[in-house]
Amino acid sequence: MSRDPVDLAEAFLDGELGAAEWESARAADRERCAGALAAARARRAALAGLARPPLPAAVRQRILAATSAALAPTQTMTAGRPWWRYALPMALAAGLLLAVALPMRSAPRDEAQTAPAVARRDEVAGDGLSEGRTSGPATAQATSERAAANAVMSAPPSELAKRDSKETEAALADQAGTEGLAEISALAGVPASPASPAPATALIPGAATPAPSPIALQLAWRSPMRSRAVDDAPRQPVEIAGETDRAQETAGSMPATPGATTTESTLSFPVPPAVASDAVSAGSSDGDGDRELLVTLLNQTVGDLRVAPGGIRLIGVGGDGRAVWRTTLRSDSETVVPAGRSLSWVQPIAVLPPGVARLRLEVDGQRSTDIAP
Amino acid sequence: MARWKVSLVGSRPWAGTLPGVDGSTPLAIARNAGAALPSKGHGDDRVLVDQVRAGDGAAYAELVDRYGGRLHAMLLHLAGGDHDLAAELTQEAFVRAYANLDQFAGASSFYTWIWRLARNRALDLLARKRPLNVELEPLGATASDAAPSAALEGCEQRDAVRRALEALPADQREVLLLREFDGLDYGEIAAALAVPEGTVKSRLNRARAALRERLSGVIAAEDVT
Repeated sequence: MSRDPVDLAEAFLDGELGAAEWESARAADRERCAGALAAARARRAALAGLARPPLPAAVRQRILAATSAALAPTQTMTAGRPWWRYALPMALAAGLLLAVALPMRSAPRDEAQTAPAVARRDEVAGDGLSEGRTSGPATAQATSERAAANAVMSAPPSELAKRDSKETEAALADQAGTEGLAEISALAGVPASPASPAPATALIPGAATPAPSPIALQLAWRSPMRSRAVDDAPRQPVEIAGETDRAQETAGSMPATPGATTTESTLSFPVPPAVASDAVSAGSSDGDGDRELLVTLLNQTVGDLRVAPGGIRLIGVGGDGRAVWRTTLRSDSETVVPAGRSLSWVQPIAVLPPGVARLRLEVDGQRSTDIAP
Repeated sequence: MARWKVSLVGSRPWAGTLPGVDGSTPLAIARNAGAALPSKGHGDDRVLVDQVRAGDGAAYAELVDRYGGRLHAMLLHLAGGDHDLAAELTQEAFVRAYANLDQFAGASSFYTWIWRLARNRALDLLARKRPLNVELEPLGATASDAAPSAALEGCEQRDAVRRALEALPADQREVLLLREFDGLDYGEIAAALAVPEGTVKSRLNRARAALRERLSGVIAAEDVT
């Protein structure tokens, strides 16, 4: 017999060796063939007997919610709702946003704009991580980030269109020192520096002062949307393009005590037309057309922030406010953000369910504000 | 060294008294394994997909119900028992499949097609995971060896098999699971992985050899039929 009985047994069980051939082999070496056959069967039985848990009901529900929501626009549009069902909420939202945007336009932004806005970065060798330290004016930069983000978020689309594009470009370019970013879409728990202007919450009538948050989370789409939203200024090269897990860590002189921090409100914000047009195509994006999110964790505590694998989650919220999609970021390792530093990385989003109306980041119970998909 | 004894019964080559999920009976194992096999033809999948394209959301629910558990179980074992990761990968695969239904030509089953969508993301994530340092620990003889309970044996054996699987390279683990756990034939595996059948066979041979080595002291057959 030329072949190993083990191979013959596997081939016999696979149906690639006929019964006659098997019997012939077994006649030549009955004991070894019998043992090999029994062992092969036992291994296959062990594999076939592995646990087969059913699809969790929550997962099934999320799948169906995400996919059935994709049909909703067609069904809704054909239902012929009365015009006031759309016009009234839009008018209310526009009024609220104007009330927020107008005071902000008159608010001073000098401190932020006079400070060097781009953080100095020191590239380090390693697994794609780059580390940088923000020199002195980091707090002013944080102020600028919040002001710019609020300016974009709170202004109505028409206001954005009227605004001097170069001014907007400059404000956006200041954000986190990440040139080429589409826009900072949401900020939460960003520390307020002593030199910062009044917190954004003070501009919102009736808004309660939120509790200070030890973790600040930022989400921003990193896509060519900005070139359509503000198109005059020359584009800066994207520094953190390319590899999926290339991360960027910056350190700033953030307030060390939670008491010195403030949290920006989680008010909803209008979606600029360019963003809205992208959101339509997001659901059909395939692997080749992955979009990218810039995710930033800011640790405003005096100790290192350690997030266990699986502790950073991206949540997709449907139109009804229920979570319809979720994914874990950096699930393969613990994420550590040293005290007073921030950690940013580019997160490719391979697919975004059509039913997702808003995205948010959750880290150990903390939430970012929602951004539009 | 403790050894598990497996009595083989039934007509299917892999049906036996090996305790399955929660101490399944042999019949339960056979039924369970049989459930993994495609129960409906490709044409039926195509009909459902056409219905989904026509706007019938219930048809997609039918596809999710038909293949969701199977895909989830496969991804669970491919992901080394990480339930959260398996759930996310399953969800993402179905959402991605929904968004790309136009690309489903119906030449293969919906399952092999969606597996192709799911596996790339899964293998990508697994490749970035820390390498598993999985070693089979020697199973020392204990007092309970004299009369071990079947449940404990099954539990330990499943654990040993799971760890041996996790120690395999992801591509070998995948092909072994598709063949032995999911019951696909070579052609279906080749379609699911978009590789030639010869590649499937060579990967399978390597996977089996590695598994054989790792489980040599763990699983022993008692009865030869």
